[in-house]
Amino acid sequence: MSEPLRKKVEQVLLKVQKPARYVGGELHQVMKNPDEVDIRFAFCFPDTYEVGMSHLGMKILYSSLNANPHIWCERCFMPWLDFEAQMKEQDIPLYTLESFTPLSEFDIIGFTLQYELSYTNLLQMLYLGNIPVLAKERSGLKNLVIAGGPCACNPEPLADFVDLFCLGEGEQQLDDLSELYRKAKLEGWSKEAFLKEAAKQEGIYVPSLYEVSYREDGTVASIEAIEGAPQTVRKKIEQDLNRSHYPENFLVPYMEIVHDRVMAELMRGCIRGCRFCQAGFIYRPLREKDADVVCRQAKSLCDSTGYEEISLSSLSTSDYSGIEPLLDELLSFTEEEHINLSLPSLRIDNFSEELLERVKRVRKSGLTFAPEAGTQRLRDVINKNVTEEEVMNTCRIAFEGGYTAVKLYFMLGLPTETMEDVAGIIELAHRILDFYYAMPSRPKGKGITISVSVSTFVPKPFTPFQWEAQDTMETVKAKQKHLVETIRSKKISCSWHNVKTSVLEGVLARGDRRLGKVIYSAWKKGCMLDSWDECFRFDLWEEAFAENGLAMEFYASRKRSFDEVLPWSHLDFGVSEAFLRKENKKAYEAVTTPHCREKCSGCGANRLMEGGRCSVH
Amino acid sequence: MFIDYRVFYTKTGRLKYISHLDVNRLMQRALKRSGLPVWYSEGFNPHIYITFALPLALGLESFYEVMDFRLTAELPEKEIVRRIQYSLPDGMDVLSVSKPVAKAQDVASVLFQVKLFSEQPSEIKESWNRFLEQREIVVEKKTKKGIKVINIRPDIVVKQTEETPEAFIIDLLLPAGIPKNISPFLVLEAFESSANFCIDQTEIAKIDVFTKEGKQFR
Repeated sequence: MSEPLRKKVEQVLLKVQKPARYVGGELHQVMKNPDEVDIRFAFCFPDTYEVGMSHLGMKILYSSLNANPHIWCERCFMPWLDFEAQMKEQDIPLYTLESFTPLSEFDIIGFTLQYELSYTNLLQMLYLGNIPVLAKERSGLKNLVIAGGPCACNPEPLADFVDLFCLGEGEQQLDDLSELYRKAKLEGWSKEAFLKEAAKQEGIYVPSLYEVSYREDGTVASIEAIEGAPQTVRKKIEQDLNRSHYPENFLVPYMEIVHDRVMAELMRGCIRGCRFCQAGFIYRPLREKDADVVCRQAKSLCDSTGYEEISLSSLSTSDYSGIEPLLDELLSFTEEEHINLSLPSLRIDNFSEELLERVKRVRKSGLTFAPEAGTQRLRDVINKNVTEEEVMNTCRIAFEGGYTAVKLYFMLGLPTETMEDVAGIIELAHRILDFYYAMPSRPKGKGITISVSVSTFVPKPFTPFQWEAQDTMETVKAKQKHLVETIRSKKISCSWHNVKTSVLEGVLARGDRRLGKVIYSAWKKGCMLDSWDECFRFDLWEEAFAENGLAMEFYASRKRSFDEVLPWSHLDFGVSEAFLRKENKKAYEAVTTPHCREKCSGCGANRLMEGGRCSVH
Repeated sequence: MFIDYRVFYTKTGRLKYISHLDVNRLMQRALKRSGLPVWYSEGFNPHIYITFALPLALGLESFYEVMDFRLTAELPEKEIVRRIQYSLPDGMDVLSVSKPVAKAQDVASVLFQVKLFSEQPSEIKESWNRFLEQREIVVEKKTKKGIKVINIRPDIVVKQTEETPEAFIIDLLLPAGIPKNISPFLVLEAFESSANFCIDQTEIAKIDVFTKEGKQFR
């Protein structure tokens, strides 16, 4: 523990909001003797404490890294503006919460990339930790900067800053990588020698070992592996979730965080294949955890944390094959021990009365569903296999169950969308409203509210829409206006996200290496905490693009041809490009694809499994 | 059926930066982990029943925190101490557990230890003595009904002072509880604005709690 640094921090803590963000010391924090470990690992979450501490992936990796006796993994978060000002004034470097050790003393500095708008935070955290932000300015093996998480599926915009990316799932991968690092450190390897060797491991992508050339029109001409690096890097996955590391205890924060509860992971991957959904493709193939394992893990976490709530975690809870027996088993102890159970990510089409019976026992608030598009045609385009009849049926079950608040999620700007589709969103809400009032068995004496939440569609890599143009700001604004004009009832409310945020998200999501310069300029101008509306400075980003001779439109609102070399085309996330093209073509014909359990559509993710066999039959 | 218990504990170190609401949550979870047969409130949304004699302000350490809770069965006090202690984080130590003697409404005053760090503690001592010589110390106090102007001089009782090479230390007894509550911050603000000097750092700790009769709150 660095006592002088801790004293310095303590002197400013009462001048900032939420000081609990900056002191650590929570229940189940892992402490080790630094002299007894070979690797000091700083797990950095490029957002605030309450966002980062809510993240299941961080909990899993913190626990699995610390299970290794050679490693001490500590946590580090992005400070809020008030604390950052104090850090600058008092010359406090960014430090880890466990031991108050400055970031610059760590061997490995690992970031998780959950959201494109956190990229400037990565730079800022390195800077506050007195670490050069550019990879080429860090010459030694120490302070190796690595990054993983969903956004690492197109890591190119961060290639200037990060030494290596971990593609796929981290449990086994980080163990293997750390073992190599340990060897390199003990034997005194150079950084270059280590990176070359690391690039041979499954899922490890070292951007400096790839040369990218561009055509005159700005598109990528070629991506060449050099110095023996593999031409294609394939993501690494956990083969059997029943055997994967899962924490026996979670850190229990003192202050309230976003998701403050036990999270029981049911499965990874999704059988659905909604064409807009990046998670639905990059986490394939589907792997389920056995119900008894889920139950045992949830119970042990409840015992060790004292949490009063369990949330089931997956991309689509109601698709878990053993959902009803699992709920029965969980409810048998949660009810006895006064623990609440929450079930996010329920689908409309298989939401049965039996399931509702169980949901009712655990949750009394409103119901949330995601039809995603307002008309059947557009729902078929995006392969959201939900019919209006199913929507109505679900609403009937919900209303009969006493629910009177319905929240509906939609997207604006989907490929092929017309103003008719836009109006369809509100029309659907109206039909639900009419349906409610026509129901003789509706809950008496209660008003109904329908909230429509509309986000802007952002095309993402490794989806069938990775070639599509994103709607321009003007188009999105016109569509938002049309939405509001279509509402004819005060019982329907409508909300949406900031369009500018979506534009930048789209640019960074499908960007190439040249964006490194733009990110650097934007950060130099003061951009950080971009996902927080009060901090987001789109004007500075525009300046940064102009100064570097690049245009946002090129990345966001340009339709790519199938022949174009995409900046992430040397990375393999399991689903094949041929499959994505086929899905793209079917989208334009408004033809749906059945889910994996109905019929295998040959996405290619089975290649990631040992023996090439997908677990979905 | 339930049995009332009262736990006395400390809150020190990093825990001084967590708020009263955080402590509430922490205690609910600690009691849950302890495996004690805790009593849950009845009704729509049952939760572990706990209540605090006096909420502690953010930034203060305390050597005398008091929380009441209920068990559905009688257990040896030693066993309760052991189980709660096991569930608490570093910085919280159980002093004792017993059945409540006084009522929470009987709290009348709190003893604070205030440490004022400075390169010249003797100057602070002189200013403090001049500060206390005043007949009236008028401050603005924020209440639920708005800002009130009050004279806090009669409320300040100094039990003891001490001068060390790096600090001037005051043991300060102030009214606390439902009828009247004077925060040590309020006193220090008035002191700082009355004098022209710089305090490097302040540390305040809650030392003890007393009833109207001047007995320790048990």
